[in-house]
Amino acid sequence: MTRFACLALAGAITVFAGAAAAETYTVGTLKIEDPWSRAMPPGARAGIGFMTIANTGSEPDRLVGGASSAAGRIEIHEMAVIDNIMKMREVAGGLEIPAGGSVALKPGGYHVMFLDVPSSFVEGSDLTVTLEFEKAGDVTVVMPVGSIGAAGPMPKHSGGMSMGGMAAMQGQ
Amino acid sequence: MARKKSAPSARWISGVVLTAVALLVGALTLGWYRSEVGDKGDGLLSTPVTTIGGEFSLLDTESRPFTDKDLAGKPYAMFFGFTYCPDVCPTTLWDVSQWLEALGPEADRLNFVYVSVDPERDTPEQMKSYLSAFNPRIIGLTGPRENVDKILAGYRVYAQRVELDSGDYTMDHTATIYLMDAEGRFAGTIAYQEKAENALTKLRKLIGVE
Repeated sequence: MTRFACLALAGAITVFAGAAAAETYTVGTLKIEDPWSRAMPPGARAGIGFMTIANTGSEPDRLVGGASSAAGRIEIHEMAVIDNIMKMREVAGGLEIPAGGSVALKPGGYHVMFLDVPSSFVEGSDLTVTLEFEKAGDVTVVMPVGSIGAAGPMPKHSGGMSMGGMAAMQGQ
Repeated sequence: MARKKSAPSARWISGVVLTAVALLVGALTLGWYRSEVGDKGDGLLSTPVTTIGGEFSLLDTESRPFTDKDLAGKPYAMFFGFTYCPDVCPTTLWDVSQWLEALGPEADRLNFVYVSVDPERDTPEQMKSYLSAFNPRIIGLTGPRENVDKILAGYRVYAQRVELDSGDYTMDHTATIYLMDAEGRFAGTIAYQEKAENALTKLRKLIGVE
């Protein structure tokens, strides 16, 4: 059981470390949870960012864009793989966050698109990004950068561990 | 910044048309696949056919000529993408890198080939830099537009340039990994985000160790 206790402690420390990086931000009636990004291969010019945005208010709002020193431009895009074909489009007019609802920006769907990225995002670093909402205004969030293949904002309890291991191996 | 879109309707119409074309191509390909290729019963690899694939002449990441002849004698997995692709391409390359690790020494028995659908931006130097983040076994190919178009046609790959309002462009493209046997015949596919276990089973079948 000592071994189990050690593992539990290690898990708790990991979660604590993750929580310190992945925060919840509030602006107006919006809550932005767990913003995160992925490392980019050297020479890649487009980066990606994800988060969940909840709207506790009675009016819908829209994520219309953003700005960051890490990118020349930020757009809001939607991606989908339909019949084995990957398609990506800018979300015209911004991404609606419905009143009383929430929208997940996640791999394979809506995302923040970083364009004209001068220097590839590096795993373990943080991006400072100002998000622009139509009604709530601007809010600055920190996006921790995971591995190129990261599936979520912090290592998962299963599956994510092997990815972390691989990242460590590749980093050597 | 929030900008008023000047012609959202035109955007949507072109989007709808593109989607319809893509769906038609997809449906036709799938119908063809079911009727012509069939399934050997194991649900993994099909009877190899020569109607997908064929000759090509491209450049590797050192700008050296690289043709279908350079792949002869070994099975290979071929997939298509572009270095400005933010999600599908890097995650697929990441998955492939993991499969190569998992295959261990067996990885010597096949090739992985990544072909750019965006040669205007993906120079050999750009491909070299980009692929340095992944397993070094992955062969990166690009080349003159007409040569790229030839391989896209041969492998029946859908690739379409889509303009963005900002003046940039993105590429819609087939996200499937093609599995080809040692004679360059199409033998099956691995779908985007297919489970690693399935993918590895197919790869091991392709190289004849399972």
